Amino acid sequence: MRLEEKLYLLRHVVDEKSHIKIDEDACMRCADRVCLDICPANVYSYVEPKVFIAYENCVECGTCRIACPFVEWVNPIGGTGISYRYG
Amino acid sequence: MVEKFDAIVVGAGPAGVTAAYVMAKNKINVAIVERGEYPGSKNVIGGVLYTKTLDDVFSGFWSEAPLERRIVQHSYCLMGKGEHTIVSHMSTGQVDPKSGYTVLRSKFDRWYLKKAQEAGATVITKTNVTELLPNEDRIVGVRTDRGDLSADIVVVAEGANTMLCEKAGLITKPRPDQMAVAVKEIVALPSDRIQERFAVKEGEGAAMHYIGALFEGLVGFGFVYTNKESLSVGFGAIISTMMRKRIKPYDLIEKFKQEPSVEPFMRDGVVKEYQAHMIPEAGYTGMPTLYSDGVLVVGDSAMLANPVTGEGADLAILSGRLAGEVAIQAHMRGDYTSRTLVQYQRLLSNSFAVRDMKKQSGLLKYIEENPEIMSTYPEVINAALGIWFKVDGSTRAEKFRKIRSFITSKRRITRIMKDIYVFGRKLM
Repeated sequence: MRLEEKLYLLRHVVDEKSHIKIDEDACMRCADRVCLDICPANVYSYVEPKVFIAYENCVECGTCRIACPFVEWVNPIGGTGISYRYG
Repeated sequence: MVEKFDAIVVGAGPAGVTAAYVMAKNKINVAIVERGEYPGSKNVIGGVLYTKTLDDVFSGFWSEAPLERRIVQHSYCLMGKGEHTIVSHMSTGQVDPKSGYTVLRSKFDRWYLKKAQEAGATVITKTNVTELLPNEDRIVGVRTDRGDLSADIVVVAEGANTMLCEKAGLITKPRPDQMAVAVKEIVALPSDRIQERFAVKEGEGAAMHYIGALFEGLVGFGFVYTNKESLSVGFGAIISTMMRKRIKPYDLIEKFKQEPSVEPFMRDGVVKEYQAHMIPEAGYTGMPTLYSDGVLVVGDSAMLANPVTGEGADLAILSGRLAGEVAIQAHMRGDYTSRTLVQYQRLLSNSFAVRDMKKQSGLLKYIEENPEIMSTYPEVINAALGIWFKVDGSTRAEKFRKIRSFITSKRRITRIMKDIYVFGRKLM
C-alpha cells in the first residue's frame, strides 16, 4: 500500500496557517536534508533549490523537530491538525 | 479577567487525566486543557495498557472502560532471514482482570476524561497551551491560543513533544538518540478470524513483540497486538539510527508487514488508519527534574517510558496519580513551591516502575554501545534451532558441534559470557 493511500485515510482539520517553519537559507545549504527521509508523513520535499512543506499532512509526531535543528515545529492551533479515529 | 483555578493540567492523555481525576475527587478546582478536537484525537498507544496502575486510581475500571481484548498471550518473535523463532506464553487459568488490555485511544481517552469531568474537573478542549506563565521564578498559569488561565499549580502532561517544558527551562530538548519514532497501522479483521489466528477466545488477545534486524544494522522493535476487530501492527526505531541509515519510517513498516512472521496474521486485513508517534527511549538517565515552583511534569513529558518492557501509558497513569496527590498536599499546606513538590519526584523514584527503569539504564547503554547483539542473538538462536530440528543424517553430537562453531563464529565466547553477565545483572 502506498503512503499516499494511507495518508488519505486520515482526518485532518486544516488551519490556513502552517505550524511548521524552516530556516530556508540553512535548508538550501543543508547537505543531509534528513527531513526528506525521517518524516513518516512525507511532509517535506525538495524541489531545486528549496524544501517544501506539506504541513496539512503532518501527523504531529514531532520527529522532524528532534532530527533537524533547522525545523521550528509547534503544535497546530487548538482544535486543528490530525484527529485520529482509532489511536 | 483571567480565570483562576486551583490547578491546571495541560494535556488529556492518561497522565493528565489521572492527575485531574485525583485532584477533582479531592475537591480541588482543576481545569484540564486539551488541544485536540476531542480527547484522544492526537494520542497513539502501541496497543497494550498494563492496568495495575489504573486499578490503583480507578478500582474496578474493567467493568466500564472501553477495553479491546484482555491479553492472555505474550510472545517474543526473533526475526531472521528465512526463519524465525517464537517464544510464547499463554495464560489459561484464572482470569486476572488487572493484567493488561489492548485499547484504542480515541475511545479510551474519551471515557477516561469523562470520569475526570464527572468527578468535577473542568474540561477545555480545542485549546493549545503555548506557554507556561512565570511570575518571578514560579509558574502561575498558562497562556493558550484562546487566552490566559491562572492557577496555583500547573501539571504538564504535554506528551512526547515537550515544547512547554523546554521553553520554561525545565528540560532540555531531547537528542535524536533519546527518542524513537514508531509507525503503526490499524488493520481491520473479523473478530472470529483474530481468535482463530492467535488461538484465543472471545474477549482475549495476544501481544507479540518482534526483535531482530529488518535492515542491516538497524535496531528496531516491532509489534502485533489484537484489538476486538482489528490488529495494531507497528514498527519503531531510535531516530538517530534511522537518520544514519536514511531509512524512511513508512518503508520500515511496509517491510515489517511483509515478514513471514507477521504477514499471515494480518492477511486479508484492511488498513483503517496509519499513525506515527514518538516514544521517549532515554530511560532513567534521560529523566529530567520533574518539579519546580508551581509546576509538575508527568507522563511522556517526564520521559516515563520503559524501553525494555514496553510500558508507557501505565507509567503515565502512575505519575499522574502521584502528581495529583502531591498537588493536594500542596493545596492543603498552601505551599506550591519546590519544598512541597519535591515529594512527587521522591515518590516516583521509589515506585516499582522507576526503580526498574533505574536498574535497566545501564542495559540500554550497553545495547547502544553494542547494537549488534540485537541482531546477532536472534540470528544465532534461529540458526541453532534450524540445525537442531533438521534430520539430515548427521548425529546429534555433530549438530552440537555445528551449532557451537556457528555461535562462536558470530560472537566470541568471552563476549557471550559478558553479555549474559550484564543482562543478568541489569534485569535481576
